[in-house]
Amino acid sequence: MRKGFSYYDNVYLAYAFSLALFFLGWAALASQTTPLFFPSPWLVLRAFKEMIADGSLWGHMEISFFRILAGWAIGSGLGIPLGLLMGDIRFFRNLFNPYIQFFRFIPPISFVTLSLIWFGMGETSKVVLIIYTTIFIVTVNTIAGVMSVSAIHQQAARCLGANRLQIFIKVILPSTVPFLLTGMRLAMGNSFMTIVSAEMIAAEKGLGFLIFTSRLFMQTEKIFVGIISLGILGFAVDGIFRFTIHKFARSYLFFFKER
Amino acid sequence: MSNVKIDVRGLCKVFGSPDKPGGGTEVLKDISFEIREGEILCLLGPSGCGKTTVLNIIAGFQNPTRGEILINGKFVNRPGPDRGVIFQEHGLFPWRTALQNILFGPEVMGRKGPETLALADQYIDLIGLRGFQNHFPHELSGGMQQRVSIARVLVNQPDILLMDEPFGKLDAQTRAQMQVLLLDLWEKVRPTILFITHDIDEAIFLGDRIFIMSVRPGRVIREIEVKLNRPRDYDIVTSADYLEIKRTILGLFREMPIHPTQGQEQGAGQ
Repeated sequence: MRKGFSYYDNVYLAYAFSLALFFLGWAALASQTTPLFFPSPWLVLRAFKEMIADGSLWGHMEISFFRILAGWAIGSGLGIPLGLLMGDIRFFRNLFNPYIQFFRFIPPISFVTLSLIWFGMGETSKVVLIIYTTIFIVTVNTIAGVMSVSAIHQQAARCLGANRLQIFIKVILPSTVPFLLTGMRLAMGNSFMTIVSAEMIAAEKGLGFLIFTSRLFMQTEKIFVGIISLGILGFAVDGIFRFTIHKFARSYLFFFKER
Repeated sequence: MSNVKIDVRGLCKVFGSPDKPGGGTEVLKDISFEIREGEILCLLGPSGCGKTTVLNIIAGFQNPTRGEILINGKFVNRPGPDRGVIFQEHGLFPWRTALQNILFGPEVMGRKGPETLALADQYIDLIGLRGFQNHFPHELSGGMQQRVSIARVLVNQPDILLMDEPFGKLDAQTRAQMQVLLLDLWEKVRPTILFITHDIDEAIFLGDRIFIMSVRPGRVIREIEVKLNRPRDYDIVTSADYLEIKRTILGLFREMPIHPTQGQEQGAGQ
């Protein structure tokens, strides 16, 4: 028989232990080299404090975050209707599918320079790149969702008196929700990749810019600050996204419960 | 003899392309029968005999290659709320609670008044769902899920129920409970029921008449009148009359060739 409570099962205890081990290993590794090559946790922590104090870290995080948010929202706003249309109507699927299948293999990073030429150094070029990153993932996932709507659900709706439009709104759309949410989550992850590369090449602010320029000034600890901030930002955004789903779209989580 | 509710005339169904020589699989061959108003008719046959295809055509989900369906003397070729279908897979919408599932029909037909809610409430009691109406389908047992799908259809007040092996996936005990529940409902609401099954006992226990179907091409080879008293309870399954009917059906099944087109299972029934 197992005991009702075990310290090994406590998730927060495990997190704390894991973190402690991680920092210990980091410190041990850093003690063997120079700060320029591999800064210690304390050095990085000090850089964090300084950058929070002078407000520069917030500035970088904020601008990266809003670039991602704007591009991701617009990209999802375009990708979801496109995916619904393509999934539900064969004509549109045939019309757009070649382009989707062609462009989705071209990484957004390869468009960074073109985007600069077309949309300039300002915000637009970065937001467009994030839109490009988001739209294909969301569209492809939404199509998959529409295509996998259960035939029995549609038959049941028909014999309960629903017409074509009602089936689309009341059966196909809700069945697709888990798929498009998954697509949006994946797209969010990819947007982080895109924004960092775009900011490295052309930006005056942002986490990618911070990481890239710190190299020029030999501030290795600031590179660490930038990288860790990216992780924190991603973790927080994903957390907010999941929280929102749980709060407002709880009944659509059937997908994850049933399978 | 009561009125004819469902008139099935010369139904043929060929899957694939019938024009090419050797192409196309003949699933149904010249099926004709009548279902009387208010009776329970069981369509009994082995896997792959096309009994689900018959139901799908009556429901309006599929069109026959030849032949026609008349409901109350009127030709039909599309699904309608007058014919409630209950599937083997419960087919409940997983993002809706039991009650929201039941209210789907009234909702799409624009009837959302208090009288609809009262009706839904009534069926919740009738079907034994009280206390579970706010559960999501995945939180319910298989028997409960099937109860919800029956209530969801009944709330539309159809005069015909088309049931496609609705208890096929339930365990023996739950299945027996559901059969009793169905007979109980039928006594109260008196719909016309077409019940599809491959379970001989289920067919005898429920049916007023049983049509036996042969394997591909599916044909009705025999009609059996079940002259057992109603209301029925589970004791009849050991009665002499019951066993006599069962013996007849088993005899018919024994003579039937098994899987003449083995390995070609497709589309029809299961």
